Amino acid sequence: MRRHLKILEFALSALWRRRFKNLAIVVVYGFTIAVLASILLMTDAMRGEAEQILIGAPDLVVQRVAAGRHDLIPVDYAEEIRGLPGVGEVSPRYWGYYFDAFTESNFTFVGIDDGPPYELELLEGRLPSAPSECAVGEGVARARSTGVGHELTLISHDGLGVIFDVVGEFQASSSILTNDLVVFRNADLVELFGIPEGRAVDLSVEVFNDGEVSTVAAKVKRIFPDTRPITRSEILRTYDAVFSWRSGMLLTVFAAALAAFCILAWDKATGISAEERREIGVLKALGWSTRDVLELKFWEGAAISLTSFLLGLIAALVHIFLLGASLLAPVIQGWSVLFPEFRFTPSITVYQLFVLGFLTVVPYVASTVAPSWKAAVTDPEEVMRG
Amino acid sequence: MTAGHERFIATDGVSKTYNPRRADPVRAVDTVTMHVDRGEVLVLEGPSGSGKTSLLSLIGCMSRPTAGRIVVDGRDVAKLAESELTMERRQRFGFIFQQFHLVADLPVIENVLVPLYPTELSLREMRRRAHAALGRFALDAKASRKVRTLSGGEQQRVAIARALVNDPQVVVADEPTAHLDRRLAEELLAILEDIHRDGRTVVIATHDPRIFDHPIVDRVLEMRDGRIVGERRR
Amino acid sequence: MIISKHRAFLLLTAVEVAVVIALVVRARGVAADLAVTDILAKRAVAARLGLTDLAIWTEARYTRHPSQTDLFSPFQDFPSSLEHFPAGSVVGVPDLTGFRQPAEP
Ligand SMILES: Nc1ncnc2c1ncn2[C@@H]1O[C@H](COP(=O)(O)OP(=O)(O)OP(=O)(O)O)[C@@H](O)[C@H]1O
Ligand SMILES: [Mg+2]
Repeated sequence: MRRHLKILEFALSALWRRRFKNLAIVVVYGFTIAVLASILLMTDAMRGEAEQILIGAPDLVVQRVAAGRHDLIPVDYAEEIRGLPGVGEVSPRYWGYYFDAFTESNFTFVGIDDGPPYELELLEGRLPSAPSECAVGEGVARARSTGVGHELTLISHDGLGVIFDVVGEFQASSSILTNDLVVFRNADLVELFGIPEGRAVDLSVEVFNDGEVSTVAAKVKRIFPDTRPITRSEILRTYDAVFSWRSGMLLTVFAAALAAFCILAWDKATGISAEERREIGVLKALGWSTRDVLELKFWEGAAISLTSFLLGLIAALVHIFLLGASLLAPVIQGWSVLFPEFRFTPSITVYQLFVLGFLTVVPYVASTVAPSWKAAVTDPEEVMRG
Repeated sequence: MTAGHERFIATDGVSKTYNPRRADPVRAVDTVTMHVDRGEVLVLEGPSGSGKTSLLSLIGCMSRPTAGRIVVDGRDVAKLAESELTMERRQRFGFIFQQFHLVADLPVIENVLVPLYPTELSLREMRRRAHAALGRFALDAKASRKVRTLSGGEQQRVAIARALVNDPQVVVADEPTAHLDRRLAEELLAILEDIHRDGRTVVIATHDPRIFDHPIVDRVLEMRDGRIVGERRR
Repeated sequence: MIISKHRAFLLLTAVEVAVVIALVVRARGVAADLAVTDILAKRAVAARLGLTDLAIWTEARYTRHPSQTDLFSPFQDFPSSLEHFPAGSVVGVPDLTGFRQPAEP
């Protein structure tokens, strides 16, 4: 035990010799890991959140596809779907997009049916229950400087200004779901968008038994070949994929980090310097065994990479869960004008951290130890000849 | 000056061939049979390329022979596993290299500590021994200086302190005076004499007459083309 | 006596590990708290309004509602197609299994 600690001691002395270079490596390496871990933690938090929240989504959404596009669906379809066994409520959904010329941002309009509850825990005020009332998301409220008790003027499909009373405003903590929403009664939305009589945007289908959802979806598809049923599990799966590790950015950054490792490893593997080889020879001549030398190199690699990993991880955890991903948010935000402020629900698995640690520490240590192998097993006689 | 007659190291028909499988094998040491007595000062002399360094590294457990036996203190080391050979080297030998082979940007004390790291000694004990070894050469005050800031003579003394820090039975020196001026060579010989007086065995390879004419030397072995061709006793 | 380097290193590493653990424990605690209150409240919002997607990217239909988009949005042309919007660098390709003819029950 003591011997290992002492070899660590010598490794640290050796690193200390080139402290500025090694410090620079820790900084760059730690930064890479911080970025990597931030993306990983954030996408994971978002994925976890999506999964949890969207359990509240409709069991089945039936949209109509015409000419390869999402099209308005005849409300009549609902009657027939309701007749299928295992199906409960089938309600037409009215929703759509609205480009707000004042703020040059996109809003999402959502219609709700008349019926309680009108109050939600995350809603200040209430949902619209009378004509010309609306509830707004935090992003909309901020963009249009409106709120409960104020008005919101929107332009209808025929170019007329329509004034709504804001009766509810969603709390900031629900932003991830409601940021760009304006909620109306269905009737108001139909009028605003000019949706033709007998049409809806899509149908929301309630299925009593979770296990039957895909059966119902298949039947709907058979009866109405022009529809596309989307089950809740597909929605969840979409979000799983959306935030998956495969996401392009992660891959790019990861590829870059990996490339950096490879260059480093290549640089080292293509031969340690004559100076290093001589030093290893001297150590061996002075009574160090091959194992001791390799252990020294192991500690050198481990000290650098472990420190970088831990510092990077700390930075990432602080960044994502304490600072709300303030540095990464603009990257993710992209061109969205309304962007919800993130309060991440942490979802960290130890497995995740181990994978990250494994992927960062091990290659570095390996690329430190491996190239010294040959010098370490050679008889030290060479150093006698200079 | 007690040149004992107890065999400490003995070689028996030892050969060392470099590149044995290549078209041009080099037989650097050719069936050499010799011995080193405990407590003696032995010099290997011979022209450049005669195999002094090669024989010295065989004796010093730095390399293994292609043929023959080497017995160190009753133990055949010719066929020892690498780790065993390392143990022998660590416990019995101290090396003084021609080029010192110090790590220039480590402090003096760290350089002297190097042989002690792979042992079970505590760090405190290691430091104590290193300071003692340095103190012997009046280098204690410079213990935390970087080696590169020392003079050549001081560097040599650091190298010798390092060779002595593990309290070796045998001190092996290869061309220790090759790059030294007269004064430093004298100083070195005085140190070697001192080391010898400790009761240590000293083996030196050199072609420097200043050494093999020196009174401390007990015996000189002459080498030519990998063979021992003569022996002078004093 | 000067503190030896390996002690300093081990201490530093222990502190770093402790900080990581503290942050993870804290984060998990927060997550557990949110799970019972916040998440349920958000789920209720999604259920009442019939929401299918998160309001993160509002720049295009297919980024606002990734789960509801059609096959012909830029996103879905080809898994590694170049994306028009920056969000595409974070958002992966949607699951397209819904477009396949569901198997006969
Ligand atoms: N690794 C090696 N591969 C091939 N030949 C070698 C190797 N090492 C030494 N030799 C050869 O072995 C012979 C003996 O070399 P050695 O270094 O033992 O001589 P030396 O007597 O110490 O010479 P010098 O006085 O110049 O130091 C030389 O001919 C040398 O070229
Ligand atoms: Mg030589």
